[in-house]
Amino acid sequence: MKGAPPLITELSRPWWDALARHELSVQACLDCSGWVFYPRPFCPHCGGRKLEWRTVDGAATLYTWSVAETPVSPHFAHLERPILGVAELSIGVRVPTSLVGVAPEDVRIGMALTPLFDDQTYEGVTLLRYRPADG
Amino acid sequence: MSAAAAIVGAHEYPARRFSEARKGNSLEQATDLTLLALEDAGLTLKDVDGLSVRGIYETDQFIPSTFAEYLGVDIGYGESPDLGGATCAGMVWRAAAAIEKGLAQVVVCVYTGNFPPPKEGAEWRSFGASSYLPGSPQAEFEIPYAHLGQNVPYAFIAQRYGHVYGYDPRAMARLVVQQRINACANPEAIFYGQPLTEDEVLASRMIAPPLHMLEIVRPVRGGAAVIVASPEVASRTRHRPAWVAGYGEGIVHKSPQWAHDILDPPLRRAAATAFAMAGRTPADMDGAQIYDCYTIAVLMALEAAGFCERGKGADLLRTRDLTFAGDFPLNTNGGQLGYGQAGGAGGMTHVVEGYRQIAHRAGPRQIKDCQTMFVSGNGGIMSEQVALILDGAAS
Repeated sequence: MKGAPPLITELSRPWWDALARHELSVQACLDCSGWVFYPRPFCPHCGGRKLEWRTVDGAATLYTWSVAETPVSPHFAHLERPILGVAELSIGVRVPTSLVGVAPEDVRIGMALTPLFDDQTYEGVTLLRYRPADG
Repeated sequence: MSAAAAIVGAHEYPARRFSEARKGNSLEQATDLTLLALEDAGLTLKDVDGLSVRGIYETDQFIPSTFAEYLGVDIGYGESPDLGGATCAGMVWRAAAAIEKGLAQVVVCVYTGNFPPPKEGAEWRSFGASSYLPGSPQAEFEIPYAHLGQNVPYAFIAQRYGHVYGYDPRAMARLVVQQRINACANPEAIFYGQPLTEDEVLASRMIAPPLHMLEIVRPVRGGAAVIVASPEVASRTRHRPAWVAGYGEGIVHKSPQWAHDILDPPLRRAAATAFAMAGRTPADMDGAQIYDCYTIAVLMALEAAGFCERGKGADLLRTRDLTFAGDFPLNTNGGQLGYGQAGGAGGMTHVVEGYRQIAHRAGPRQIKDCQTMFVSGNGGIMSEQVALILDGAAS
């Protein structure tokens, strides 16, 4: 029981399809121009129901982070001190993620991050992880 | 304005280790707690016409009616609120509001310290408080990245706090130590007789930086009940009532990953509503019982409730005497950090202690001439929050 793959909904399939192409696609509201994430059938900013998927830049900065020194679930007990974080895209949307290619002592909030498209962890699904932009 | 309801009695089981857990199923424990709390108030089952109950694990649904049937009471108000650690404070204000509207006169609010038995195939339990059911945003966008449980999400808040305002680990350690002093004046606390130093807190195992093990509650078995009653009933009960003078609630997200501002918890709204209703300010409070699952939760709550400015919580923790004898009495029974956290009943610890201080029944840890008390509840990761203002005077 390693990991727990995303339980993908039909509504958010375009997000996962884009990740499989190593791109990011996020819903935009045609009424108020607000960005919507996670995907929804409406815009939580204005209540509008007309949304459109748009390809966006995956570059991000680190909003917050920590290290799971003690696994909460047996599903993730195989991970050694995973660095978990929240990345903020340039459009302002925040995504839960994990950081790779960096040691905990070198992590800084606000650091620039580059997407790392992880096709390996779960079969047939691509996860959006991040690494330091200059690393 | 005049308060419409008061807490008139309470009973709380002592915190126990899991190995010393009380025997008996949840309905039996809820009944025992109910009868003990009624006896404390000088009331009987015949007086009960409202029930707010959690921690019943013999059924998944129809909980109020199952418990009413078991007790043999005929009630005008029943529910089983779902507010995580804010459930108990949420029970109290809902009971007060129901009483004000005339639905009931005497409402039992009870949360057992039982835990649900393991269920066949209930794999999601190991994901802590996160749902791995189809369609759950957590199942799609959080759990696959190992974002689950409470430790790391609370650490997310603490890390961001440190980035914006600066983080003082020693101020957090001092909070734990001062609450431990309070626990050492409470024989029912799990850490009674075990004083602690700041160095010991900071030397304890790192769980999710910056949070150390001793900044996180110890799970225990317990359970508690309080009785909320109308003014008419309160006038004939045996102890000084704690009037529910103000209350408020705030809910904005399940997981802080989705918060607009992770440093602006919904308690701000809850406390503002409660203080306005009571016609009081934070400076009017003789003490505070603040939900303390983690040290960072207390820091955030002190700021959100207005006991200090945003970003100045560590100054308060560093400079004030937080013990029951101090100039800012906080979590005077030890809080959950000192008492232990009896699952969802942990939130009742703060309600019961708030009541006891107002009723002048807190024994060796009594705040001198205590008239007013702030009580908070906090469910999830600062997800569902409730504020109560208790007052020794009805108006």
